[in-house]
Amino acid sequence: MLVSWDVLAIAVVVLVVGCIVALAAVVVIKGSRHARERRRTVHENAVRSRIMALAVAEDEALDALVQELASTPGPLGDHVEQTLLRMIPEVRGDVREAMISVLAARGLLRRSLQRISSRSAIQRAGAAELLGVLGGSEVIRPLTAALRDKNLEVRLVAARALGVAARPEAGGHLVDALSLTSGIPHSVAATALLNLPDQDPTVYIEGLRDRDAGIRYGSAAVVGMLLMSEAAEALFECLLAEGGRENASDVVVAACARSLGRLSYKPATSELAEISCSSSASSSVRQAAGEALRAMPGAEAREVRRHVMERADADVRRILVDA
Amino acid sequence: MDNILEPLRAGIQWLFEITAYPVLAYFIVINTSLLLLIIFASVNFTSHLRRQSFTGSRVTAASPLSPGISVLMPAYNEGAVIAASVRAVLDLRYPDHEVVVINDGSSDETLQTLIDVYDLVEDQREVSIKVPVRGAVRRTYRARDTALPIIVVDKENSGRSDSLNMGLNVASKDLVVMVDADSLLDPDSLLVVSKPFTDDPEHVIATGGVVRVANGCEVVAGRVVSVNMPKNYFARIQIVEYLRSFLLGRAGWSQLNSLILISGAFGMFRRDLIIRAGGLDADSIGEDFELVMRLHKLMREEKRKYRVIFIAEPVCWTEVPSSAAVLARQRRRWHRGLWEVLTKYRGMTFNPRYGSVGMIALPYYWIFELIAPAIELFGIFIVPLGLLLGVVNVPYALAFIAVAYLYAIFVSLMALLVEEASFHRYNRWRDLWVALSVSVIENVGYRQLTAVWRMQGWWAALRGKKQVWGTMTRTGFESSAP
Repeated sequence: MLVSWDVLAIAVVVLVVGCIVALAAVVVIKGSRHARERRRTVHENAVRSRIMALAVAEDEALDALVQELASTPGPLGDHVEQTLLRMIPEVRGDVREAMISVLAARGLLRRSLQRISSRSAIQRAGAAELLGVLGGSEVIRPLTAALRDKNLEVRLVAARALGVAARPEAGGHLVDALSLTSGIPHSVAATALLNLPDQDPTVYIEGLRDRDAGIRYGSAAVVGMLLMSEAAEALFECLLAEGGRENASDVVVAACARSLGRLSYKPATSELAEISCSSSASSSVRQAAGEALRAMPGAEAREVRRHVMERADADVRRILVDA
Repeated sequence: MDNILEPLRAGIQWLFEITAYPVLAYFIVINTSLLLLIIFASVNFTSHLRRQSFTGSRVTAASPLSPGISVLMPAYNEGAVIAASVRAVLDLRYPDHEVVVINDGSSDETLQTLIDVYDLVEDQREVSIKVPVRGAVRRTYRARDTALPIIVVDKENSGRSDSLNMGLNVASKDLVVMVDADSLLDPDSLLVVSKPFTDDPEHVIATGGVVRVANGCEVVAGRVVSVNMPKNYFARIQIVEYLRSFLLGRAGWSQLNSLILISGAFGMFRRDLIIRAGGLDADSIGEDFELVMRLHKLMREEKRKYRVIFIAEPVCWTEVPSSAAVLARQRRRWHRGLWEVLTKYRGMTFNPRYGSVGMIALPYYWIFELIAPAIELFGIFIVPLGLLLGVVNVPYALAFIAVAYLYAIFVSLMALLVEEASFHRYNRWRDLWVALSVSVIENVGYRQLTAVWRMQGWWAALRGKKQVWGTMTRTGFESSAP
């Protein structure tokens, strides 16, 4: 006999018990989820009208409403927080301010500031996200500190949060976060930089001369996206200097080229034409140069494009044919 | 009569003796490994769900620096759905994506519909051929309104893989997604599936989104708006099957960094890498599987750190076969594809040079995916014969079969438990009872049938029979209002 009857019987009993336990667990989980959903609907009905009133209330009525929502206790209060956190990214202006003041009055800012030094990386990342939503000058210091967190995920969330908080004083820190050593993807830090108001072009001009290729790339991308014409010359210098650098990077050249195109920086036209036809440049760099050439205005650029069409590869020709 | 029966009885007895322990070990290990994959998947889901509040999808959706995505959509006689499918993809929430439709020599109105609906004009621009293609291109089209990011390539019929290769040549973005024209994508699917590329651009080379069963769901304007259990028996069973093998199995492999199969219905790749790998293999039946294997091989041989990631969040919905004939064709094709790819990359199996892919994933697919139907059919054949000849003790055999099927049911219940605790897409109690009942019912009839179909696929591959793509008869969705 393969296995004894005893073993077989035990296996059957264990599996039947296992199936019953798994079945019971499925039923309990589903039941409790449905119960939570019902409670959520009750809470939703209880607070919806007051939250919507935040959007239209003024002066004393607004203060009273903020006070009322801030002091809502228990699970209903938790629901107020969750609802406001869901709504805040969708609203702007005074309504957003009112919502944030409700959350701050409920102690969310204080709790998040505490949690950003938690031992759990998930808690720290969650706190960084909330601090970004809550915004204000007091969140910048903890968020910039989180850019140097030992956990990459926390650093990444902190970079995004600084973009959401949108305070100009975060600019220098985010430019530093573009560094290859930070581990934060360039596109994340650069996207955050795009959201900051009142930016100083000199930060990016310095960034374009930095030894770190990540900082050069991010600065080049942001300068183009924000149409910082003051930095156009430095951008062109960066493009010319990149080939001679020890840590020359294709992505930096491509970013410089695209941004020069966005800024319509005419002195770069012939250099871009050279790059777009160069066999030593990578395909992505040639295409970026081609895109920049396509964006260049004027008769001279048209003439250059005509010459490039005769020499460039099919990908570049495909880009230029519309121009 | 006894002269014939006695040697047969002795033969069966001998067969039982030599196969009993290996089969028992096989059956314990296959279910236990499935259970382990489910545990790994649970870790994967927990990690995913705990991070949901800070995914950054809102920021990515608005960023001009998010990597561009080309959505490649091969279409063969999809005239009835093509306009809505393209519209649904164009409407996906993403800052920079284009749609490349490759009309694979359709004999219906697919091309004309696209020309009319999207006001297409002939595109005179050159296409640089980076990946060789077989089907000759007749014409390429683009929208008269150049702001509408759609390119249509009209070519001679040459199959899905070759069409996708043509799409790769036309695509201009850094990432490519391959979707079927009848796939229904969730609005945030591109954001969700591209997130690993944004967060770790250096290492992530491919991501696969989970594909769920659309049968029974309510669909409005190309979007699944209400998830329901289908009424069809085969479709219901496939829901549990997809849950167990695709959602949980692949999430488990992803957690082990050994994912070797990304569904052709929704997979995202770095375009430069696919081109470097030579595009899709137009001769392969399992072209999606083959591509991922080739990328693994390329990366491992270049000793590069890389990741292939499975996204468990629902992103893509597809209609599964609801008749035995269509299902049989599909399973034969899948198994044949499995055999072809595994034999093609046999040198990687048990080869430490290929890390966990070579030492864990590939051996698993050989032993527990490819051979499984043979073992199952052997059991189906030998046990009744043994009972008939009196070689097997009936109560003992029944108890043994009970253990085998109870373990399989337990694994399915664990899969349902993990789904309920994580994504719980089937919200109604009735759906749960249906899923539970099919977890039991599938063990009688369905499993055996699929084993037969898979063996047929294997047999066809061994005979070198030419594979023809059958027509997937679609029954449509519960409600398809525009």
